Amino acid sequence: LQIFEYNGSAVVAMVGKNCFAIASDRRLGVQLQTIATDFQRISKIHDRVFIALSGLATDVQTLYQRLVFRHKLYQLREERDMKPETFASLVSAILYEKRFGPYLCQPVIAGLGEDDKPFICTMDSIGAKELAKDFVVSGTASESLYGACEAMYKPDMEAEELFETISQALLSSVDRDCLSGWGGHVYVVTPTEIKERILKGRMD
Amino acid sequence: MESDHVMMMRTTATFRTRSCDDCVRVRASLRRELLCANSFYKKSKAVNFHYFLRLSLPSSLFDPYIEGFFEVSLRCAMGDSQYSFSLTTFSPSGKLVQIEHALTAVGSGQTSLGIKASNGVVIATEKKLPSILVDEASVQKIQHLTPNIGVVYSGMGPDFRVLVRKSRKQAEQYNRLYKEPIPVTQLVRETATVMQEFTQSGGVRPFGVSLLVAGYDDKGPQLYQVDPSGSYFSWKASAMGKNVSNAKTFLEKRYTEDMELDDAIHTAILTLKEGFEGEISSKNIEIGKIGADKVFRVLTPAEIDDYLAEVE
Repeated sequence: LQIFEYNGSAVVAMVGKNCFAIASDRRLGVQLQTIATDFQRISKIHDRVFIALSGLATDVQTLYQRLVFRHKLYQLREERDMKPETFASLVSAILYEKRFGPYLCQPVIAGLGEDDKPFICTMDSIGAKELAKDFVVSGTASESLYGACEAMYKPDMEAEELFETISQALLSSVDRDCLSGWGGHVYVVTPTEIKERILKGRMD
Repeated sequence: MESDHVMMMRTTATFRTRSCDDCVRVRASLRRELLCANSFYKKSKAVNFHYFLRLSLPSSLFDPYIEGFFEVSLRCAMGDSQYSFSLTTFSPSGKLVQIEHALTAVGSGQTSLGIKASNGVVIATEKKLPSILVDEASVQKIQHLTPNIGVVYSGMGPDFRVLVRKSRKQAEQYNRLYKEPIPVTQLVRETATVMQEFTQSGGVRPFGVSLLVAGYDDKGPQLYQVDPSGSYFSWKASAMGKNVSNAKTFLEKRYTEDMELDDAIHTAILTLKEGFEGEISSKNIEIGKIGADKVFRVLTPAEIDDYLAEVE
């Protein structure tokens, strides 16, 4: 029983020109059986910070609830939204608190920082942050995602082109992974709007 | 069957053993363990002596057949402690008299003041030492809380030291969690919370200091006063201590919104001079400033001399 591969997941985030895109698959399974095709892995923390969690579904949901709780209190106390870098540090600290009984999920955090500069990062299940300038991936399909992103990515893409690139990378990677798939969920975030789109891929 | 009784600081344990010798041994053991437990648990709120004893007493003392006879009934010391209530209590008129007295202690402390300029903040205080034999370089009344937040006080020096230590720790904890320097408002709020806790806890007294916290962060220059009650206020200019009324009147007249940092330092020196007994010099005042560079600095005596010369 591979616990990180129990539910199956695929998550990717990419940086564009003053924008970012974050995408995930929609399958929720119990090992080989698919039980849902509309599982929400990407969550909005606030208008400019998104987090997508791959791994064990129960931890995905619980961790998301804890993070939203922390952010709401932060917003009330400091009367401002959290910067994406600050949020990433918070997630890392929360994960490390459970160092010897961890949350079994790997987050991918994406946001627009000061001056609308896009920020992405990923971390392992105990909070080791990994910043990147181009793309970050996570989940059971991560190896295929690395290959697909590396091949398709180019810097400074506009929102529409970024959407095309991230969608193609996601769909082609999940096709190579039996535990993820059943469509895609893509958010493209620019300083002025958030565009949420559902992809229809191979429904298997 | 012997039975005995161990009393230790309001915790009693009653037990029975098979023989006199065992009884004596158990008593000595229990006394020792309770003594350790008492000092260990002094600070904690929940005490479970029963659990602790079960772990610590050597089982060889007790014959397995008579284990059933070993009864230990413990009455926890904590709940009956003489200091589990707050010493700061309301008077019939609705005031907290201890806090009023704490403010009196502040009011008889050495004058300190702060001025917020358009591009920075300055805080200053008298540094009257009890004797000319005291090494004035070793006395530092203005302290850093973070690289971009400084603090000065009026009142009791030792209380100030404790607060500075706690605030520095809180600032650093925030930094460790968010990897971001703590905003001035948040640090002031947490310090004020500590001060409030000491007005509503068992066996403690309020702090006998008022603080002036000066900082520069993303929201610009800020100056806050924190009182022994735990209330805090943001000021454009403020003073505390012995000469507070004269100093505040002076500041009200002299303060302008668009003052620059150097003007503010001159004004601060003039305000201190107002109520100063004796000759003002770089050896008996302390000045700290923070500008747009967001670095809080305590001025050296040489720099203070320069400003004093400009003011003359």
